[in-house]
Amino acid sequence: MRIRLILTGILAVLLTTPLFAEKVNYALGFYAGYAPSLGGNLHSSVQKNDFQSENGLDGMNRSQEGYSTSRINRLMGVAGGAEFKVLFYDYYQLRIAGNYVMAVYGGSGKTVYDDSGTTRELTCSYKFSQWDVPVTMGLSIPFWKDFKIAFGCGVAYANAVYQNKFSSDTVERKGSFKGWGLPLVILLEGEYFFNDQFAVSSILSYYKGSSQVVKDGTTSDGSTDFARIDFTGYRFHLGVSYYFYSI
Amino acid sequence: MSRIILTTMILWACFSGFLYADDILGIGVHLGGQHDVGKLSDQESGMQTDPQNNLLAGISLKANMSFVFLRTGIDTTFLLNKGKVYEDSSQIKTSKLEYTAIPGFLGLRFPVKDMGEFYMGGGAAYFLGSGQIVMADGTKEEINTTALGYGFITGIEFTLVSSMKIYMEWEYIDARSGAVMKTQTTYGWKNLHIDYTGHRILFGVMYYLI
Repeated sequence: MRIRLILTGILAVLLTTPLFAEKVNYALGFYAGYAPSLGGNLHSSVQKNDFQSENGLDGMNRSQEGYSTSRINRLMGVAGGAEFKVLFYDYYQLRIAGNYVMAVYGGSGKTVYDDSGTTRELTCSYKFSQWDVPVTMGLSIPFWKDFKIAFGCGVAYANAVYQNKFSSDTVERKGSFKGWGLPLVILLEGEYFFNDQFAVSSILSYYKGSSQVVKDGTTSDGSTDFARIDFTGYRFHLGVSYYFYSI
Repeated sequence: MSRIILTTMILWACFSGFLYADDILGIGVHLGGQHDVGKLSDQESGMQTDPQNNLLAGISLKANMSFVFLRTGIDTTFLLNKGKVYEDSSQIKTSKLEYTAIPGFLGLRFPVKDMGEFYMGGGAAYFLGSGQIVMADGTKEEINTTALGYGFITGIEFTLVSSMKIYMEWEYIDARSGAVMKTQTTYGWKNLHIDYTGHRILFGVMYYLI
């Protein structure tokens, strides 16, 4: 319902923009970048109840003499997307984008845990992927015809899949969580213009929010896990923009 | 892969000077700070802490080419106040963490005529950390760690006089070490990792050599 309202609002704005005549410009952009610490600490109830970690992946990072362990790094994601911007009266910007981010580094390693008094090695694996549609409104400040700095804030519809797997000699636990949320979004964007219509851009965005607690969708391991999918984090992108009319 | 990147950087540094007359290569010194070094409150759920704060001093090297910049340097930190844990249940009482970081960022710059510029980029930093953790029973543990982290930088430069600029930067790096020491009594394993993640604000002066 909430998404329908947002989409209807955006559509209404886009449809009425021709009424502003030459006071409106449009831009289309594409970008790619990365997202450090994707998914946060990836905590789930199995990690606390079965493997003695109260803070997810961070707490699973352990070492002990006599055991072969390796560091489990937080996930780093590669991100990409497209944006559509509507600029009103040169300074006001409405931006809608579509992003996809997927973990490509980190999230695997070996640790130890306590199995009813016996210390055992445990292989851990985490995966995370997300798509989201952020809608932001803000100011776009032109500096002559050289570049623009834009600042905006808004909200995103974010949908993610988080999977984890823990296996030792005696136990195997698998978790799969699908969830959505409406994280808040802050955006800082700089565009350097080659001419009146083409620009290269750098985009820094911050998401703050998470899903509801989600129940594990994997039942084959005989256990039920719960997790909250965390969308909070920074993303940095480099990209290109094309303005429909001369800036 | 690293050879290709290094060769490209050397070629760029060698030939960029022939293409552009000024603001090509700058060297700067800066001071700054970081709040909540080590993020002790994240080590245990709900742990109440007095966060550690560090002063930061460093040297920066910035190479500009048209709308692209490359920024590296070296930063080192000095303790401003120790981190303290107020929970009786915690085995950690205080932390004193310091580090030297070598960052590298690549991004876009937006020159504002001859007044200065705004810049924004992404990159990584390598941390060499050391410090001391004091436990509840009074024992002191010396730690040495390394970590690689990823993040971004955004900054502004303002021209003071020709070739001399003041700058302010906001840096964020997400970096954690592996487990370095044991801060619980129940199990035999080391569980404490050192968290270098955080925001850094820097103020400095940059001199452009060419």
